[in-house]
Amino acid sequence: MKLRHKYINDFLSAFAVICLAFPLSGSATENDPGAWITFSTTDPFKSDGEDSRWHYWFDAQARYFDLGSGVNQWLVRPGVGYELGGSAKGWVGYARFRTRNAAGDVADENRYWQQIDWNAGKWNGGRVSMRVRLEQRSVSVGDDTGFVFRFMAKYARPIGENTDSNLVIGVEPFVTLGDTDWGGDSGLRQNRVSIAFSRRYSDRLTIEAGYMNQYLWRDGAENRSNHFGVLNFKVKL
Amino acid sequence: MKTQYGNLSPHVRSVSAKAAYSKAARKKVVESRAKLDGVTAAIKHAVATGKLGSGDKLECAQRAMEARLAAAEARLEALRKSGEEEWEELKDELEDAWDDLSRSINKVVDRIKDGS
Repeated sequence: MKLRHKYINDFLSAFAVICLAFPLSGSATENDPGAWITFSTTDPFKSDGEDSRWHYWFDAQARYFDLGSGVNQWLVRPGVGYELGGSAKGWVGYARFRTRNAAGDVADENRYWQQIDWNAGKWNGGRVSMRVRLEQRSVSVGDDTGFVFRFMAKYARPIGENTDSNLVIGVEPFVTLGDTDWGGDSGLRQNRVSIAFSRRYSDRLTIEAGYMNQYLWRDGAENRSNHFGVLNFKVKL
Repeated sequence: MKTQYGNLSPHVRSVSAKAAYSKAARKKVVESRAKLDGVTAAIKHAVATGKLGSGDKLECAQRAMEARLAAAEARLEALRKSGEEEWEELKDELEDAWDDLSRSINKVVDRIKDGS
């Protein structure tokens, strides 16, 4: 009975997040299916055979928008972090993006980023983690540098008694801090809401699979709601 | 300067929080093993001198102590091998395992004192 109650709570938490996401999808919204595949790894650097306070981060992603249209995006994102105290870590990094549109034109992007993440505590049998990230984006098709502030909150809760399996729910709004000649006006430009199941298969591999809604507010065009199937391979090197 | 992650404050330690915690937990395992051996020896002595009668309940309590120490060791090993996102979750499990072990040792110590 207790276990059943736990599942109901999981379901209600997930449902609440999905409800928060979907009122945004009004009638003047273009809906597209997509796929988002991620490989990520992060761990401490070793010092004298022990884990140091310095950490590395690397992720590579392949994103396919509006499946069949040929629109896709590839990126690699390395970073270095330092344990600030408690559970907080500070990060700096770089990302290189390559985006292909439906006509086959390619645009490259250099992105520098700074981030602080931390564990925000426990809630309802799970853990809440948060991160804030500031990005400076330069795109080959424009002259301006775009400044973007992102805030992510993630909730992970073990499924049943098995701590190797987790329900993971996330929300991440993006705020553009200034107008650019390639990215439109400043303000809330994007929101991501996701729900996934995470399974730890070994000491080195965790796979997360689920759904992510990416809502984009666009100037002079219909807003877009991308519905992604997401697959994330988290690897410990 | 003692913290949840070991002896040094977060501003002084050079190793990661996970490494500091693992090291402190490993030390705790060794101390617990010594304590458990001490309790086992005290039981044998009490039984040999007739202060304590040997019985199923006592054996059962002893086995419970051993099993809980083994569970704590297994959780520490899992924590050591865990990734960045999982280790804090496993830390909570290890803390629960310490509580279980501590309770089972106290139970046996009380039994020795009571002579039951």
